[in-house]
Amino acid sequence: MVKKDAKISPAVASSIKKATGTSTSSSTGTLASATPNSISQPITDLVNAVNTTYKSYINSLTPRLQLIDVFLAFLVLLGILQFVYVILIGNFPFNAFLGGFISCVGQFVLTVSLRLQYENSTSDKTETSIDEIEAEEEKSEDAPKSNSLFESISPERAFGDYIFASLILHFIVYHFIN
Amino acid sequence: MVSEKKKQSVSTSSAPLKQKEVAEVVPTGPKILGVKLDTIRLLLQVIIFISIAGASISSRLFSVIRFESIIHEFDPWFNFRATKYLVTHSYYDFLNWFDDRTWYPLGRVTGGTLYPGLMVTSGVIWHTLREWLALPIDIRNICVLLAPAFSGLTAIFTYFFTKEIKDSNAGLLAAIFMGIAPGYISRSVAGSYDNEAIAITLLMATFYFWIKAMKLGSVFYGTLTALFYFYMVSAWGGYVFITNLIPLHIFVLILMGRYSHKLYTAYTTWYALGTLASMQIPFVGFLPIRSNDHMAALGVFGLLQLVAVGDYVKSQIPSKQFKSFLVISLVLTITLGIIGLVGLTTLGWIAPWTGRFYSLWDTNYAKIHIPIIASVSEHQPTAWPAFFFDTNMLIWLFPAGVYLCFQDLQNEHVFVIIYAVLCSYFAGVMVRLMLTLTPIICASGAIALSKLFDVYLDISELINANPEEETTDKKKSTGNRKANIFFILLSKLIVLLTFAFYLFYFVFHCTWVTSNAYSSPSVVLASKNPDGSQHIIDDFREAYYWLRMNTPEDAKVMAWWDYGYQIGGMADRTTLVDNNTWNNTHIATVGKAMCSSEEVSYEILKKHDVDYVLVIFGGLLGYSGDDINKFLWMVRISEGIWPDEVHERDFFSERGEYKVDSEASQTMKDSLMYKMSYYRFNELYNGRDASDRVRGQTIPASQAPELNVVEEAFTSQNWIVRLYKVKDLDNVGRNLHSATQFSKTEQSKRKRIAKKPVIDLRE
Amino acid sequence: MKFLIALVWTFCYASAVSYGNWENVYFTRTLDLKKGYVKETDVVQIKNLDDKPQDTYYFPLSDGIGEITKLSAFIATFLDQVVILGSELVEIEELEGKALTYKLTLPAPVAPGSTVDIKARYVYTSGLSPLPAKIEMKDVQHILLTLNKYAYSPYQTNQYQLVFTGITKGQEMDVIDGSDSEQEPDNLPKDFKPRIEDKSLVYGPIFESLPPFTVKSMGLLYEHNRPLAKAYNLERSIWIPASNSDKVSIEEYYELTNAGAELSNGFSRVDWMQGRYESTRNHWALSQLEVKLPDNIESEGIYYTDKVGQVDTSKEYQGYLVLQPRYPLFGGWNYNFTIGWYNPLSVYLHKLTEQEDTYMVKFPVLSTIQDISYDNVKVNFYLPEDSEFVGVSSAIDYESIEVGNELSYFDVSGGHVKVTLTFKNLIDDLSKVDLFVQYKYTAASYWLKVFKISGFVFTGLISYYLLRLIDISIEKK
Repeated sequence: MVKKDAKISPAVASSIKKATGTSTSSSTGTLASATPNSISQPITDLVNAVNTTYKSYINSLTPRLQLIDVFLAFLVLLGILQFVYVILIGNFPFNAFLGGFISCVGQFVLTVSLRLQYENSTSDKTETSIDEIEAEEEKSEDAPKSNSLFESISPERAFGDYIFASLILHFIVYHFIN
Repeated sequence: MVSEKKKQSVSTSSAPLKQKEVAEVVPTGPKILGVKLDTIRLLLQVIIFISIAGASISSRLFSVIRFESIIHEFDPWFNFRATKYLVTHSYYDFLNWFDDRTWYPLGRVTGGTLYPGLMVTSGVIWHTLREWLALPIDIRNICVLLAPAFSGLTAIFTYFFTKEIKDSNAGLLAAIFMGIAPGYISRSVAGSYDNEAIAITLLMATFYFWIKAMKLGSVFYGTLTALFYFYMVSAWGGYVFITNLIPLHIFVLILMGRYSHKLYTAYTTWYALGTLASMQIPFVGFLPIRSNDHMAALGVFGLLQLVAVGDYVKSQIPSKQFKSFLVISLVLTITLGIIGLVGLTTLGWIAPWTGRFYSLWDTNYAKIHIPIIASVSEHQPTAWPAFFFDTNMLIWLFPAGVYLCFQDLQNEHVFVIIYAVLCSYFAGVMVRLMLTLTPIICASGAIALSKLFDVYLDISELINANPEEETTDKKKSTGNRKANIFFILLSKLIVLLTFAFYLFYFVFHCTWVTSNAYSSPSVVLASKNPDGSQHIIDDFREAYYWLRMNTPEDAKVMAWWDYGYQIGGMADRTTLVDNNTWNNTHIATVGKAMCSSEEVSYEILKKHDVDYVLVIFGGLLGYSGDDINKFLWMVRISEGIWPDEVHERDFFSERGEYKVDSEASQTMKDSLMYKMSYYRFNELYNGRDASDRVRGQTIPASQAPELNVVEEAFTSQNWIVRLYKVKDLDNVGRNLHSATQFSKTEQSKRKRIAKKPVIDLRE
Repeated sequence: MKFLIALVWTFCYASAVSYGNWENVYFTRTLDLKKGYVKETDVVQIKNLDDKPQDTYYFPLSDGIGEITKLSAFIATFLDQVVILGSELVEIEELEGKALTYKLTLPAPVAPGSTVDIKARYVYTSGLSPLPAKIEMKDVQHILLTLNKYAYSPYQTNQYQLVFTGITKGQEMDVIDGSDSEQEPDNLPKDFKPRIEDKSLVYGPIFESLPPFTVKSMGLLYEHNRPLAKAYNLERSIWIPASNSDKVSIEEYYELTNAGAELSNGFSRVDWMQGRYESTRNHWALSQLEVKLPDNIESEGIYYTDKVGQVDTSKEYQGYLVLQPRYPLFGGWNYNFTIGWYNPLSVYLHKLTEQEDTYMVKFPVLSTIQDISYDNVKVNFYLPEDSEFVGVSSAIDYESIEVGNELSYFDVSGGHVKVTLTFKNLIDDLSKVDLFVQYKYTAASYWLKVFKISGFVFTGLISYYLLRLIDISIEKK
């Protein structure tokens, strides 16, 4: 699954922003563009905020995080696709739709959790991980705050947990769709 | 023997505390008597656990010792019957089980309308024992002993839960409290084979894993929470409590500004997996995304996504910008959310609030709108003494424990507080929910008590301080010092002894309550002979067994719904209504048949193919839970459906009293229920006025009821159960009687043709 | 008409050839009706009419109208000495549906012209029915016995007597049986009238000779205010332990009914309480069962349950287990229950000296309720696991024998060896009859079982330990 997504990655590179932002940030984005040059301070602030976030996000990317983000984007797309299908065509096998949709959502939140754990543990300086380069991680601002977070969970453990949870998720989905 | 064991276990549970404290005092020696401290600690813990489990199991066996290995009460009989169906059929048959032997003629889609967790659990145990361990134990014994076995597990999970909140000392105290607290025992004595028996265990397990997941932010523990949540959903309708408590916890934490990625990880994992898994249970189905009960969890899930994004954005940008970002996005999401919610409700996607739920908020709601819910005694508001009765000293330790949680306000303490507050309210509304309150009472009681012990058992300062003081200023303050130590010791001793006494009294109380109040199977009644020996009153089984043995297998029995499950389980006959109460109209029909006059009832009886009518009558023995006492509920429920035909007022005497004696109203005397209860009752008193020992009223001999449409088929030894056979549809009224008589003699003649006697001979 | 009689006669004669050439000098039937079944004793003096010595005598049960369908036991001896005659149930075409026929083989042939006295005793549980079938609770129950008034013998009978005992009041009834038209009553004795003699009802004796196969249906209606207890099924299980624990568990499952009169109305508790039928115990409702416990040894751990749990109304009294059903049984009512207890095994078990590892257990076929008849009886012997069933011997005939396995507690291979003997139509008096079961059980198979179980436990523990090791290794990775 993950390998497959890696191939898709160039195609959906543009939608990376959406992956972290979910629908809210994208909708606020459109709102901002709909009222250009407005006097209201908040909106310019907002645009600035989004821009800053986006930049810092791009800065903090590592290949592994990128891979995760691409996968997230793919899941969001898949979810939206299913939702559109349901709205347009109808939800006849309702549990099939539900299974599909929830598996997307579930996988999404699991992956986000994985990402959060990775991000925090890799930015943790005291822990010396072996397999990834993390030089650029050092400048990220939230490092001191997240030092204490997830201290008992090593990246390997996190990945193991992730696999475990995903297996159970897909077992249930499989059973549900049946 | 049982009580001895418990005392032992309590004394061991407090003794090791002392031991440990002493051990901590000695800083240099990690060993005591050449054994490592940890080893001793582990050993002690294991011993304590074993004795706690032993105590909690053995105190639940009173009913088996007093009576026998039998299923209790009402609902357990259905669970037992379903379990038997499960072990004799395949699992898929069980899920697709359509039961045509209940709710005649409607039937019940049993497989889709039950929580299968309990039955599957005992089914799995049965199969494992039988096929893997070569122990073909009777399924009945497994069902009877399931609740005690799970109560041992509950104690262990309570230990872990409390350990997460405070420490293992509090955990051990909580475990023993949980093991013997009457509030929990009331639903888990041997034979009480009900959903709650395993649900409380699962509740504690889910909460423990939730605390663990939330503390660590672990996906793994989140998944475990979800799995146990799934198990809980499969076992008990009370899972909704978890579904709302955990989101509320998260919500409060967010409001307190305590969001962290750990919360996100734990909650989303639990919600995504748990919701999906819970939809696997046929009875739950799509409720988690439709019913309002589950909306809070979904809302918090969405909220958490937003908060996560917000948190991320916040960490990247200056706070000034963030403020406006926050305002705009908040306004947007709230409007979107409200529009969505309203839209979905109006579209009918979201199920309306269920009645049981309303009755949680408004105690009078049920009485006004749904008499059937109000008629169940366990849905009544809790009386104050019940709290003391069920938890004894813990009820006043409970607020102390909650207060201590406030002092040390970690995330998990917030959870305890929310749990405590919510459950206290619910338990006040409904007796039945006392059960969910008990664990948290035990946990916070244990927290308070262990805090107390922490302080008062700490004698380290005395021992440590002594030598120093003596060397520095010997003369001056030795007397002062000694007095001081003496007072400290005295105060500690007093407090400790007081609580030792309370603990002892607690155990005593629990044992007493369990053996006296909660160990009666209610299927079998016990009374005392004049010489003090136990006399068993076994009328229910007598009558049910008579039905089972002597009526056609497809006979339909009409009885008030309380006895539906028992008739199904013990008499194995088709019933019209049972404790499932899914169809109010059908119940009202039965109520109407009971409270109407014979002619009206007869039509209903015939329309529903009723062969036998069963009534419970306690007048002879003084058994107060009989049908005449429940009669007003039958009237009310049927009045709800037929307000024109049934009027509650008609059943009261002229002075507005509920009477069965000479003052009873005509409607009362004409009702089928009244007639069936008192039919030929006077003859027992040789034609004099009969006295009804439940209501303390006399039934005048002049108003002895006559029955035309039904005939007495069986009455149990103490008259508690009376069975009537519905006469065939030949004629109406008194003609019917003679007609059936005639046809019977006709039949017997046809069988064997015997000529008149040739010779008559008498010795 | 004459021709017809001649025809019948020749027909009878022709078939009589196959029966041998005998004559019944006298024939006395005594029917004991004290209990809920019929005990009949026939005493016949037979005379060899042939010119050769004969040793085969045919003895159809005194029936002829197909009433004796449930024969319980049959035994034939000489009248004056206890010599059991060889008897064998034979099928004779012309008697099919009318009477069961036994072929008796005398120990020595009887010389021509000499006589010998034979006594045949048999019990049957059919032919009784309450009349009227439905009565009120306060009424007295009457039982109608349908029988052939005469002896149903293939030989001519010269002197005949019919005696009923064990009844207090009785009256004769004519029973019209549609199938019985060829036998005209005109050639039957006219004044075959009853009289009372020594508390019994005696017909005859008459000295007219009766032709072979004389049939005349008759009903005897008599007062019998006791229940007709009957068990449709009895399953008796005997669990023989494998180890040297000295306890054998015996469990009996009854499906009981009362074949007596039914209640004409529903059961009224008022009437029942006011009649005090339970305490006087002189009523046709079955409200008390007395089970004979094994003599002279202690029976412990007695339990009495039914399908809804324990029944508390039982007590042990002078070697009897007195049970009260949950409700009194009127005619047509059923009651299923189980009783069980433990006995010391040493009383029943004998180790055979001549064969190695071979054991013999001896159990009575029934430990019975008093005054009851059984339709089907299954006796299950549960021999220890891995034992070898050698053989069984029984004084009364069993219908079938079945050897199988049944898994029980701690069975690690095939399960207990289960030997099932099936009997039909037994009565309480047969509880004296013993069954002998022989089986082989080596000490090796006992120890094998012990080792297997401990092996399983050990494997479980070891695998738990190993699993823990594996788990830890995953954590560290």
